[in-house]
Order: sequence, then C-alpha cells, then structure tokens
Amino acid sequence: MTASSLRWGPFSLRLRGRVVLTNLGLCALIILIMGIGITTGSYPVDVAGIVRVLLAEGDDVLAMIVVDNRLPRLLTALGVGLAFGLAGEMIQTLLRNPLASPDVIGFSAGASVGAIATIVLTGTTWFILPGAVSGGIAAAALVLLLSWDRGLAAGGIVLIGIGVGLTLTVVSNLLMVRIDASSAADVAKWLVGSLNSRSWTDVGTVWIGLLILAPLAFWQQFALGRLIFQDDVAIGLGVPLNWHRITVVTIAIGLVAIAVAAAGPLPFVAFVAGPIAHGLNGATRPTLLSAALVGAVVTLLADLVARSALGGSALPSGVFTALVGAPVLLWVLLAQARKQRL
Amino acid sequence: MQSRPVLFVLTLVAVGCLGLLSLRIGIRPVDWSTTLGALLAYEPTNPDHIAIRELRLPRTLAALLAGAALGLAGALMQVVTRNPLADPGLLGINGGAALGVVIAIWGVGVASQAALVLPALAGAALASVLVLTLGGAMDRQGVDPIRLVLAGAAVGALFLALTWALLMLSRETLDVYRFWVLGGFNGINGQDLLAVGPFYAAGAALAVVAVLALDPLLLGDDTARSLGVRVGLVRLITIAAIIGLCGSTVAMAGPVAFIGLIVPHLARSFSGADIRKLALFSAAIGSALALVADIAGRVIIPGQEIQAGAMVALIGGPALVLLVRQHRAVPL
Amino acid sequence: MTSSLACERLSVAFGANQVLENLDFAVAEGKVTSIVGPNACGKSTLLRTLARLLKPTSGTVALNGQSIFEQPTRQVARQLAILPQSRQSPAGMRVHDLVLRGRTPHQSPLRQWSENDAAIVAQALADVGLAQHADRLLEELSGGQRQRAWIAMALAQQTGILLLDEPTTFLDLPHQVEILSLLSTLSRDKGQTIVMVLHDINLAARFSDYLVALRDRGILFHGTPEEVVTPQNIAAIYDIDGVVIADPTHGTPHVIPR
Repeated sequence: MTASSLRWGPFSLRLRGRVVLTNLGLCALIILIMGIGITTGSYPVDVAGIVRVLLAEGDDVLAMIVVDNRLPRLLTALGVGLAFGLAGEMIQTLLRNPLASPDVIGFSAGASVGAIATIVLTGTTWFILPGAVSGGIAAAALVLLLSWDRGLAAGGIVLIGIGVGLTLTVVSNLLMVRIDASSAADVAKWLVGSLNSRSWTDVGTVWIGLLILAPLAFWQQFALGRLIFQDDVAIGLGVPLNWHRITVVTIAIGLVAIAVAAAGPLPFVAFVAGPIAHGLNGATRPTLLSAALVGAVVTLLADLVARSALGGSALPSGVFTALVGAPVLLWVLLAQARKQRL
Repeated sequence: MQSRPVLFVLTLVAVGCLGLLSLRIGIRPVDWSTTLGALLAYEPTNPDHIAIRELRLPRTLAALLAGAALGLAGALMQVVTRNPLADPGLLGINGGAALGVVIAIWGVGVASQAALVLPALAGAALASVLVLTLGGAMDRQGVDPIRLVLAGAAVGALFLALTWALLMLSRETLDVYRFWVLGGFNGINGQDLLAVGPFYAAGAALAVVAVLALDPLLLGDDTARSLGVRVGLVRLITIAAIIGLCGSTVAMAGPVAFIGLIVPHLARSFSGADIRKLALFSAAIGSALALVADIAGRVIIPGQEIQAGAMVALIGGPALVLLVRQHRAVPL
Repeated sequence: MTSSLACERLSVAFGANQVLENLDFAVAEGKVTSIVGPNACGKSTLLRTLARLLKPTSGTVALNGQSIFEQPTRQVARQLAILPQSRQSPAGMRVHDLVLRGRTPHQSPLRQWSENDAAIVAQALADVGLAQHADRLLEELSGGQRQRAWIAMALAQQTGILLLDEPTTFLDLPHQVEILSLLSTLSRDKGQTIVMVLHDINLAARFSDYLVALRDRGILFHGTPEEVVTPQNIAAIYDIDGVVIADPTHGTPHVIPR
C-alpha cells in the first residue's frame, strides 16, 4: 500500500498514491474534454484563436462564440457535474448503499411537481426554475421530517423517500394533463435537464454555490469515512451520528439545488459518480474529490455527445447522462451481486 | 379460524355491492331498477341500458380484474422475495411497461389499447427480470429488502429516462403518454377486455400453480430443497405469473401502483400466513380497492374524473409512509 | 488512564417488555469481568446500555462519576471502546484502514494522521499480533484474525475500558481460547478494564477475574469465578443440575451438566 503522510504543524493528512493518481488523471481528462469542447463545434476555433480571445485581441465573432456561448456552457457543465458528483457520493455513503442517489430522498419528484405547478398556477413557463428548486427542497425536507424518529436511520429514509417520491410523481402526472401540449413539451425538456444556451448567470449560480458548499462537504469527509460502519461501531468511535446525518443531507440537498437551478436534473450523474470513483480508486472509503471529478467528466462527456452530430440538436444533454449512466448502473449491480455470492 | 370462510364470503359480497355501485354511478344518472334491468332484461334501444352495458360494465369488469390481478401479484411477490415491501410498481414493472408502450406508440404508431398489450408485457418482463436479478432476489442467501427496492428504483429511473428521451423526440407520443400514465379504467371496452383476456388467463393459471407450490419456500430455500421442492422452478413460475398478471394490467389500464403493496398487508390480517388463503383474500380485497378508487375518482370532484391509478397512488403513498413508520420497531 | 464505569438502579425496556430492572453494578477497574446467564436474560442489553448504545428507561450509567448520556459522545469514546456483536466489515477494507479508524475520537478533519496516531496504530497491531498482516484485506483473514483486527481498532482508541459483546461467537475452540487469552493478557499487562458478554460459563470462569450472572431482569450473583460457579448457583442461573470440578490444569471451576 502506497500511502504517505502529509504533516504541517498541527495539521496532518493521509494520502494514498492511487487516489492522488486517479484525481490527477481525472483533472487531465476534464481539461482535455473542455479543450475539445471549446475548440470544436459548428464554428471551429483553434488554440491560437482561443488565446487571442482571452487576450482580448480576437475579432468580435470569435469573442462572441467563445465568451458568450461555449465558455459559459462548459463552465456550467463542469460546476454542475462537480456538484452532482459530490451530492451523490455523500448520499450514497450516508445511506451505505451504492444504489442510492438524491432521487431517493424525493428531490426530483418534488422538483417536477414544483415546475409544473408554476405553469398551472401562472399560465406561463417563466417560473419553472424557482418552482422546481423550491419543490425539490420542500420534498427532501418532507422526507427527512417523516423519517425522523429519535434520529435518522438509513433504511427509513430510503423507504419513506420512495413512498413520498411515488406520490409526488403521480401528483405531477395529474398536473401534466392540466396543461397544454406545448407547455407539456417544455416541462418534459426541462425535466430531463439541458446545458443548451447557458449564460454567465448559470455559471454564477453553480460556482458561487460550490464555493460555499464544497468546503463544507469536504469538512464532512472525515465523518463520512466513519459512517461506513454500522451505527453501533460509529457511535462507539465517538461519531455523533444524527448531527453528521443532518449536516450531510443538508449540504447534499443544497448542492443538488444549485445544480438543478443551473441545468435541470441531469439524471444519473449523481448516481454513477461514486461507484465509478470507487472502481478507479480501488477503495471503499468515501472519496469526495474523485466522485466530484467523475461527475464533471460524465457531464462534460454527455454534453459533448449532445452537441456533436451524434446527438443532433434535438436531444438535451440529460438524455445522454442517462445513457452514460445505464451501463455503469448494470456494472455496479452485477459487481455487488458477485461480491455477495463469494 | 372458523370464521375465515364467512369472512371471505363477506368480502365477495362487498366486492359485488361495489361492482353494482360502479355500474350505477356516473355522469348519466340512473336509478337502481334501471341498473339491474340493464343486466337482467337488456333493452338495446334504451340509452341508459346501452351506457351501462357498453361503458360501465366493461369498466367495472376491468377494475375487478385489474384489482384482483394486482392484489394477487403483490401477494406472490412479497412471498417470493420475502420482502414485505415488494410491489409491482416499486419493482420497475410499470416503468418497463411504460417504455414498451412508448416505443410502440412512437415507433409503430400504435393507437388501440389492444395492440399495446404485447409491448407492455415485453417491457414489463425485461424490467422485472433486471430488477429481480440485480436486486439479489435470486440469490441463495435470501433477499436484502433495501437493495431490492433500490434496484427497483434505479432500473425504474433508467427506463423512465429512456421513456422521456423518446417523448422528447415526438410531441404526439408525449400527448398520448401523459394521459396513459395516469392509469384508469374509463374508456375500456369489451374488445379491450377480450384482447387482454388470454394473458390474464395464462397469468392466473400460473398463479394457481405458484400458490400451490410456494408454501414450502416460506421455511427457507434449504428446507424447501430438503423437502424435495425444485426451488428455482417454483420461483420461475411465480415470477412468470407476476409478470403475466401485472403486464396485462398495465397494458389494459396503465400503471396502477400500490394496490399490490397494500392489499397483501390488509389480506394477511384476515387470512393468516397460509399462502392459499392469502392469495384468495388478496385478489378479493384488490378488486374491492380498485373499485373504490375508480368510484371515488368519479365522485370526488363533481363533473371531473380523477383516474383510478392516480387515486390509488394518492392514497397509497401516504399509506406506505405510515407502514414504514409503524414497522420502525422492527429493523427493516 | 483508568476510568470508572458503574450503573445505578438501571432499568431497560423494549416497549412493554422489561429487560432489566433496578440493576446496580460497578465494573472492577483493571480486571476482566464476564457477564453470563441464560439466553435472552439481557446480557447484551446490559453491555450495550453500559456503552450508551441503548438508553435506559430509568436509572443511569456513570462514567467517571458523570452520566454517560450527558457527556459528548466523542469524550466518552476516549474513555470507553465497544465492540458490538455483529459487525459487517465494509468490503475492500484493509486491516490497517480498520485499525486507524480507532483513532477517530482523537482526530479532527484537520488532524487526520499525526505521528502519534501512526505509532499507536502500529503498537495496537503489534499487541494483537497482526503487524505483518496490516496490508491484507479483512475478508482474506481467518475468523480469529478478523476478530483480532477489530480488537486492535478498539485498542487504538486508547481507552481504559473495553466492552465486548460475545467476542468468541462463530469461532472454533482454538480461536476462542486465543481471543480470550489475548484479552486477559491485555488486562494483566496493561491494566485494561474489560467487560464482555460470554456464552460459555467454563471459558468465562477460566479467563475472567469476576463473573456477573444475570437472570430475571437482575443480577443474581456477582463475584470471583470460585464464588459464582457452585452447583447451587448454577442450578439457580440455568435451571440445570450439574457438578462443579476444578479445572485440572488451571484450577478454575468447571461445570459438568449431569
């Protein structure tokens, strides 16, 4: 085992060679995909052109394409991927199940009810975003409230989340037939999540949120590394379980909310990030940084496919995150089944 | 113990009464004598009689069939997975059927209910096999309920994502789908019933075999094996029965969740642990619940209908939450 | 480093089912105490309540004179370690990873791996004889080795008190003896206070300084093995008729059911 120690005054950390390598590799991959993303498209720009734009020497068309169009889209995708990856890994560690995702605590179902409700109430599609974000937060809060029984137990959250989630899904189905066909199509597109025509506002939303929430998330990594044990062992080690569960869930909900606000739900990113990161690291302990980076890679990759000729322009990125996620889902489940058979 | 046959007869009487009520209640007001007249002395020229025979009778029969099938399938599924929370809706069958239906509407332009049976069945079979295998329901060591439910949620989410992708490509499909997904019994006619009939019959026949063979499995696989039971075969038959019953129902009435989850719990308090009695009571109570949901959906908002599938879920979701909170003492 | 652990008028119930009633008990410092008794007499319940894993319906558990339920859980974890009975080890975890988590109550997110931590983990691994297996996966170990790895984790916690719930279940006889010898050595050489639940009264008598016999929601007998294990007491604890002889090699009392 290649682990080394990082010590500086009263601070100390334990670093694992493979984890550091994985993270460096993922960073390189992110830079590569973003490089491809910014240079290719219907109007190819070479590296020299990018440099000229960044030095404010390029022509206006070039500046418009790079600064107003491609850069915000890529930066939003990067931030959203990081946020979903972090949130997914936190929830999966907390519930001790690699199959959990923020969907399990009712966020997406609440978000769709909120989104459609704004159309039914106002008759316009302008308020989909705030409606969805507040609906998602409200649903997640409801699930936590109902699961609370002198503490938060992992099993209770999962089952109550599914009960609340299915009820809300039906509510959104009922609302869906109360609106006209073109609004329904808008909602459908939004519910899948899209990175089309992102603005610098979206970049701001997700990155300001990340700057606040990501440090809090990494602060919880130490506790998360102890929550992988069953409750009795974790309590025996002096970990205040309920405090960490509430904190972790709250941070995760916040991360999902900012990501949804910037790009819509983008199914499967939060779900697959953790299992892929664990596979790369060869470790079972929570690896928030790797999961966040994997989330970014998946999102950027899906968006690249959605922008390319392969995706045409009809399908939003969210469809492709699901298609990238599906094989990984099967792989995780089969690996889990194999492990149990041993 | 003695009162069980009496209880069962009472349940059947209740189902019969609900059936009659379902024939009588609707937008066109009719009285009891007309309702009974339409059944016993049918006059093909009387518009009330036509409405009851052609619209309400198939609808009522559909609710009866669907409720019984879902109740029975729920009981089978809870026994075969040893999981009190198993339900065809939770385990991805509805999601699979929905994908099958959307592919059929989008790709082939299918519009009639009857032609949706096969694609819905195929989707349901694919999804349920995926969920049960990946969720560990086929493992020898027994089932981890949480893993199974999460596998259902994950596969369901995947199929939903694929469904949405197709809906995105075609607004017409979305328009058909958003009504279909609510699940309900209105608009089902005699021909639809005839189309799904054979599938129900096959599912029911398999279910009878499963019910008779499942009893030893309650004691655990190893004990069952030592009693000479072919455990794998019994599981296979049971799962085929579940897919047949649920798939036909989704094809006929759209996704109707939660009946399969709640009904066996209600039935168990009448039937005890005996699987044969549990199956009978589950089917009867399932019918009753489907009829109640269908009737309630017709009267709850005057002049408007809430589809039975949505109605059931609106009652069932909170019921699941209550169930979990009550079971809290027992680690799930 | 010694800490005192005692319970006063302790009652524990699960719903309407009263498991322990008005129980008074002080743990002997620096000694090995075993809790014995028939099935379902509340042995594990007592141990888990002593470790703050269960909340009593009335009465209290005092750690160093202060209620264990009113102290921060982290502060308790620096004085008392508990190994629950059933433990799933997370898949893919290595022995060293497990043992270093015993340092949790002494660490913080900013101070996760000091030189002191490294030295204590190495010492704990050496104490249980697993130093050369530090890099192996838990699932590769034998049952006895895995149990020793968990004990090493509890040792790395550096607490004066160590509670163990049936540390010998699922182990064969040589491994049972191996684990119990290890625990009694730790107590003798390092003054570690040990309280454990044991099924086998003969092994308990051989490896413990004190026995606590539970029956009918309370403590029936409490004393040295010689005081507790007598034919009359055995009849009262287990409802069986037996003779008690002296173990031919160790001289400790040994029950032979008639």
